[in-house]
Amino acid sequence: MVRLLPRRGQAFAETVESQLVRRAQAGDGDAFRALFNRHVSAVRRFLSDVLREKAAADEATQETFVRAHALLHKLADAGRFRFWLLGIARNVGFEELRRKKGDEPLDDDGEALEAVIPSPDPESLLLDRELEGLFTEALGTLSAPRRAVLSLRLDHGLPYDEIASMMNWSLQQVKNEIHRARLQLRAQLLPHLGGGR
Amino acid sequence: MSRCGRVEQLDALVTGEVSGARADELHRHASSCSVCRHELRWLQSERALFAQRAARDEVDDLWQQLKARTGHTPRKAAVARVLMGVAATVLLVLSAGTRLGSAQRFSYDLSAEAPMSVELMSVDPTFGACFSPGFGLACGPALPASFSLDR
Repeated sequence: MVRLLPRRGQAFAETVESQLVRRAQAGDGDAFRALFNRHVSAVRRFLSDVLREKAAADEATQETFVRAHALLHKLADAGRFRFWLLGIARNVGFEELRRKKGDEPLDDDGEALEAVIPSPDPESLLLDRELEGLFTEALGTLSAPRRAVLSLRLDHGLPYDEIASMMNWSLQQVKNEIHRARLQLRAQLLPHLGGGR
Repeated sequence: MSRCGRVEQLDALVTGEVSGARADELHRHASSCSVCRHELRWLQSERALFAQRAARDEVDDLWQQLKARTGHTPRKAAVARVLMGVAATVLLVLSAGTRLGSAQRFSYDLSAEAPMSVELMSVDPTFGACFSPGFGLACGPALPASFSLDR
């Protein structure tokens, strides 16, 4: 008898999550709570990146999970829950931005930033709130779509093709926007990270 | 921008999408290519900043806010059991052929630790009821459509 085992811890975690999703789809409130606990931090962080406001991000996080609960029965592939949930968060976040029509930064084509930016000094990465604040501020100078895709890639680890699907962009557009976002971010962070070439 | 042309590959290396021999090859290349070494440092620094931020996340209050938003009032377990008893009695009457005058919704705590909102946990009589005819209260399969409380 051959027993199939997950090859990696991640595969096992996905199996556990799939089970939680199926139980939640069957009406198990504890399972939905467990899914909430597993993903609420990531969802709120993503919405904080998009909306740049804690209160708005909290509200949007709640809305995301309310919608997720209402629509969970439509999720055919339980293994895609995280991607599906972030997709809802993305919609909620951008709906809120459209509603507010606030002073969002505009995109530039990033060409001016193509000049070589010196390397950071990893040893000078400060594990403190000041740098974290500067980092958050630097993220805020990006346009919402760029913040979103950068966050999805660097924070939530989504592959490029999934980001493209979520944003309804071409794969090349996703890569271009992430590249430009990185250049903008680096230009602002470099003075605080030390280093040189 | 890496003029060496390996930015995407280095990005995949940092995210763990490349492993084994391919990852070793990229590391060897970066050790001898200043452009790639530069890019790798930035990629690693960016991910470290996101990871630090994630580590500080605090979301303890969001579940409570979600409940408040959906109008849930926490119930004590004893009250919930009484309500479940009432629900069981009503359904017993129904199974004996008696009909109720109006639709009713029941809500109950699954756990005193994690009460859900009325909207999220209300039992639609067409599915998911915790009643098994003849066996009293037990979570079981959905009720048949004929058990609907609607007139």
